Amino acid sequence: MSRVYTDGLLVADLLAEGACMGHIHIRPEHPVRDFSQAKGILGEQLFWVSSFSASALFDSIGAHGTNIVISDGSSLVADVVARFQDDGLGLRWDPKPADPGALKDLATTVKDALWYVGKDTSHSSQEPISARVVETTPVRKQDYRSLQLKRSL
Amino acid sequence: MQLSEDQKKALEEQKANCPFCRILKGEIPAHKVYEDELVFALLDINPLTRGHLLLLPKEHIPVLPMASADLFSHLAKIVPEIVIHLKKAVLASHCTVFVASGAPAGQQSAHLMIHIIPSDAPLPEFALPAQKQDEKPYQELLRVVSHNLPLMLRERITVAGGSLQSEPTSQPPSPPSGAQSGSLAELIASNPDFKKLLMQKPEAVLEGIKDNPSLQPLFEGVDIFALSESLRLQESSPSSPVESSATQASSPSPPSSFQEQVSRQPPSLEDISSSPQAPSVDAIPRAIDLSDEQLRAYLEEKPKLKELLDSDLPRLKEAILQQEKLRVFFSGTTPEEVNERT
Repeated sequence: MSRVYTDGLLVADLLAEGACMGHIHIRPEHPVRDFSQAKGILGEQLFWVSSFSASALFDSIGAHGTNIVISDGSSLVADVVARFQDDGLGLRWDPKPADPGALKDLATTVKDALWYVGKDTSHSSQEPISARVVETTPVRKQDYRSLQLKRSL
Repeated sequence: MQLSEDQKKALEEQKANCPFCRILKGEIPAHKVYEDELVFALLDINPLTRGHLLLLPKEHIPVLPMASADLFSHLAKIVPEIVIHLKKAVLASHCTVFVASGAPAGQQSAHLMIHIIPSDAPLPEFALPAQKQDEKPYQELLRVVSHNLPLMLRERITVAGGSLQSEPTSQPPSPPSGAQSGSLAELIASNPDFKKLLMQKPEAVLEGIKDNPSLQPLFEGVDIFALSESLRLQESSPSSPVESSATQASSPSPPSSFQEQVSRQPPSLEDISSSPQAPSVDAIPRAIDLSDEQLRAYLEEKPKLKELLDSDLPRLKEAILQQEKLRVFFSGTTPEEVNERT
């Protein structure tokens, strides 16, 4: 039995065949695809359990560091791994500078979207001024750029 | 998390040179896409994918365990929301939330940051291999983590009627803290070995607490010897429970997978003390170390002990409290269990 935690919402297992000695895998008891499907405080709880798992591993195994990887999209899960110097585990990427112009455009779009964070939009009719676009058809990826141009007019 | 003066000084020096603190002040330009009282987010200028976002606390803290309870609660609430809205903004079907604590984990900045990386598919950079771990260290780690993790989380989360409610406290995430008799009572109720140790060797528990500062808040204001005595009295006369926090701890509580999980791996003394205590009477064996056959043979040589085991358990329990050799022999087990085995 590899179970290290369960609370009715989430289960956490210390993997016997994990990425390393000290790999905790956390998943909802009832699988969900992503955060948008996570009802109530499930998403919040996943963050709590992941963070405390990292602390538990750090204290228990004397790790040099920890990584938390929460994957959203196929199946909402979290992996917490203990890290040691030169352990060869990876979890890195090569930084590639973004095009400044593209980044600027993207910033406007993302800023508008994140305006809704922390706001209860169920009854709100407020919208940020720069995003007053009425969408009557689903946005396709190829339409995205044209939608941005419309907003800037 | 408590910092020494040297650590605080180092943190101040870090903060003075921190590019993200300077971004927050407006001294360095950046594409800030979100801000509230506690955190801000900006687009990574070296993104892994389009829409790669960095979420940072306004306060300069190097790693997540140093976050205050309020900040931590806030992060827990908004990270899922940011993921949901970011995916919509960039039309992504997947998202990876990545936190690196420590240089070996890939932390490249002294300012805590949470990477939120949208994508069209799971990212290969975060694929984790699977390899069989050595059995013995794995089992040891399993024992420790399965004991510690639920206790750490219990300080933050209460279960009420099947639904979870988070309780922010003024303490940052750390091993159990806060003098709550409920927490101590639950610890006693869910850990039979610890309860036995408390009943039989309260002085050893006191030594263990002195050596393990993280346990001190749990026992703040608690008279260990009085607690030990009340537990012993309760054990010897179960039909008349004594009014004490220990009694409340031992009384039946609603079954839940939460408590069952914690009770699955009761701690040994090594778990609660950094300096394990060894029995002082080396010549006396412990019943739990003997096989059933050895135990029977041993008891054949101790007719008085055998008699008490067979017919006078209350008197035997009294004798155990008074005689160290008996405490050594019965440590880690009970007279009832020894009886069953023989």
